[in-house]
Amino acid sequence: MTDETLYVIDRIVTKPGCGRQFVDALLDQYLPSAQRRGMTLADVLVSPPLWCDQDPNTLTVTWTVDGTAGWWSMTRQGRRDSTLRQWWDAMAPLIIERSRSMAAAAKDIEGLSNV
Amino acid sequence: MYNVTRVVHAANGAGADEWTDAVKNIAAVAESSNALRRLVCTTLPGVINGGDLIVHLQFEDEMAWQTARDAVDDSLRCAAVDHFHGAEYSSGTTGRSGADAAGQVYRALFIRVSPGTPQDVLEEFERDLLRMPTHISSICAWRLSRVDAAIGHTPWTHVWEQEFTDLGSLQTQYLDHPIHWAVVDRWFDPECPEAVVHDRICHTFGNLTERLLTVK
Repeated sequence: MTDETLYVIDRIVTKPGCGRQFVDALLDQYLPSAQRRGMTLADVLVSPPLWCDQDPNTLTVTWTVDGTAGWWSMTRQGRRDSTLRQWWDAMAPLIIERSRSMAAAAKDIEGLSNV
Repeated sequence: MYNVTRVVHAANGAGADEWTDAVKNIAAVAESSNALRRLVCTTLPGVINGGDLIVHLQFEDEMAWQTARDAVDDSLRCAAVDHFHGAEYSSGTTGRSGADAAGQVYRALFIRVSPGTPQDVLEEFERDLLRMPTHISSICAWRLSRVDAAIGHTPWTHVWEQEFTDLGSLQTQYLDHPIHWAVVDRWFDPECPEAVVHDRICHTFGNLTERLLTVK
């Protein structure tokens, strides 16, 4: 298992006027269970950086986990937790589209690939 | 080539001798099944929903399998066996990394892609799986097949098979490489919008004694 910090990046485009509601729900409801699964919240970036009833917001939520062991631990716990899927389903009315991607620092790529 | 794989779960109450006798009988029936290639092996620790015994048979064609089918499946219906599941499939995309590569471990992943998955998404999912051997050096042979007929509770749609150089690499390199956790796993992760596999998978593996996944 590798020790590099790995990044889980959620990009969420919220419906007009729903950006703040989504962020509040993320911090109040999703964050505690994410922390229990070993995820550390690094950033919640909001673009454009204002709450506006007429326009969507693009949210970039960056989490970190400790190495591939931390990543697999995080995802395995998540797959056993049906409330996570229910939470995303409950948030669907606030969301236009979303993605989740994985990333690592450029300096770590060779080490991560050379396993 | 027509392939048949059965994942056999031992009965909880089966004694060691009873199980050993059942495995001997299953292997004998497999031997006389006219399969061109066969593997009957106990599973190794670490399988997920992967049973206790793998029976993998390769026939010239589907008709040859249908001729052997009753005898093979009847051998699995005994007191020592709780249940079995599996799949029947023509060989899909098959590859081998190098002439000198020798696999010591056979691994099969049984998958059910959700019904209604669009064709273009299905093909992207399959392409991602087939990218793995390029990056994971311990995969010396591989085959991704669509299932013709599934046996058991889960209507499997795909079988993703590999020969690994060794057990350690299956348990470390295969999991740790970014092609797995950062690219392929999104199709299986319910938190990723792309996920198309929602049913429990079967991840099973056992020791390999000779090459099994051949390129035509």
